[in-house]
Amino acid sequence: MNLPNLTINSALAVSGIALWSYGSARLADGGDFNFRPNPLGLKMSPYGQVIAIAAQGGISSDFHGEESSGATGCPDCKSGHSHGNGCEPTGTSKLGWIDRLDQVASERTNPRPRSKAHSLYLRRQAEDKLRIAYELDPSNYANYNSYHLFLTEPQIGTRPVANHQVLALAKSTVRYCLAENSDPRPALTAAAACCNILQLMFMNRQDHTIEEMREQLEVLDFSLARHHQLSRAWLESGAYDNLSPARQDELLDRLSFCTKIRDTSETTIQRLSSPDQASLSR
Amino acid sequence: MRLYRLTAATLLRRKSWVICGFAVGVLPFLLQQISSASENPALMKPAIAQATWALALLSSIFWGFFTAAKQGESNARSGMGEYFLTTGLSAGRQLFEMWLAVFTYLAPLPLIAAGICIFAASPSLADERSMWIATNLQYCLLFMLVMAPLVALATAVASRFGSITGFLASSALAIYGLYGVGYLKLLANLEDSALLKWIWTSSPHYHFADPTERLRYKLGAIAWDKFPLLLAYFGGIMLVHTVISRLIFRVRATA
Repeated sequence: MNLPNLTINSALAVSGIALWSYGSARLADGGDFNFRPNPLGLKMSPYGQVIAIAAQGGISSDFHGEESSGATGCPDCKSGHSHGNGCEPTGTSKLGWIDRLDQVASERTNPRPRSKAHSLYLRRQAEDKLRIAYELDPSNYANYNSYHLFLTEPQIGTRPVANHQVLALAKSTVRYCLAENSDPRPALTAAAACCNILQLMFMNRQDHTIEEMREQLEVLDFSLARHHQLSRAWLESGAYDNLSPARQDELLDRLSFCTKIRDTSETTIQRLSSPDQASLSR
Repeated sequence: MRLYRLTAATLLRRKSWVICGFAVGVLPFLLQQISSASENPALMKPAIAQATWALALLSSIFWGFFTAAKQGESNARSGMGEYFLTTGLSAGRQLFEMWLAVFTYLAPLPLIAAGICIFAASPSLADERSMWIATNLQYCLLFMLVMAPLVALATAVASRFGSITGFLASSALAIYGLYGVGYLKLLANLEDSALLKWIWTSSPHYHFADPTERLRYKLGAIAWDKFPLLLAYFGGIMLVHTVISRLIFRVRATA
């Protein structure tokens, strides 16, 4: 290498390393190096919400694969449809040939039942996918509630989680969902998370006071009120029609479920706070 | 500037830049149809802003680095580099001219992304809008500062080790700096190992140049007193990459 080249390279290298290390030292001191990676910003984005819904198919086939055969949905028809209106068993002749191929490809021919280890593996797969789906869109009602079920139900979940972690998850979901100010659906997820918190409080009565429960019930009422307010705005602006009829039905189902749980919770709190119950718990 | 003109003309004739232009300029408007913006109209602008920057990033990594690597390899293998050397064009100069040609096609991508964000996805409140414009322009600058040295690195590595190696070196470095360092922090127990901590601190933290989160949450522009620090940081990385590229680059296949 000739002398001018060497000089240029050395000068560039020295100044480059000096600037780089100065910059990284200052940025590391400021704590700016800490970040949660979010590839292409997909998590909690409009695209993440769609992927979170799409992920439900894969999760369902993992979960049902654990339960029965390899196909999603009902073992009788193997079409992977939802079972809202009951499932009519269809003969092989009525199926289109793509469906028949699907049936051939996904049919379970292994006569032996799954081993325990294999079931655990499949449930863990479903749980991991649910966690990712939850991270992609914490405000998705189905993904949040399924993930909560996995965390709280030892029969289904594969990693036992402490109660306070489940509570923290539910509370952060409520916070995230109530920040939404256009779509009414996240408010419903917030309401469901409040219901879950209340249920956990009832189950571990000794750790929680009646005041805490009442406060939580207020948050639940607030979430439902927020849902009604945003729904009204959507109905007025016509944005509600963007949802398919199936989505709208799903929304109403969830609303009535949350309302029922809310009413039951209120009665439970009243019962718990009655004088004789209070003395019993002491 | 004959090598620059030659490379720029070659890239123009190859026409693959049209795909990148389409991806950054048009695709965000089509993609938002498959985002949840189709159900919730309030998400339309965030979806456009996110898609245009994400596609600018992907186009630079996949098309930009690959093109740069391909040029570096063909310059060394075809004898073109040797020819230009005999006409008095030094190796460093050749690297610069090829880099400039590729960068001419790469630089418009962040500009288009920023333009789309400003004209098609601006917030409606006046003070938020001025912050939005500043944020986009800041990221435009950071984006170029990050991508520019990696283009030169791809060319240089490819001239010595082939185009696949050149492309993978730059794109792996970019993806590691954008996301890998974050996962390293999450997965490895940094506090226990001085070596890992050192690797983590001295890695290029390119995620500072990724605007998606800042735009998504409308966090506002980077504070102007902190911005020069980021410029210095990425400037330092750029100088180091320049030296490495200059050392690795060669103009003929047989050394």
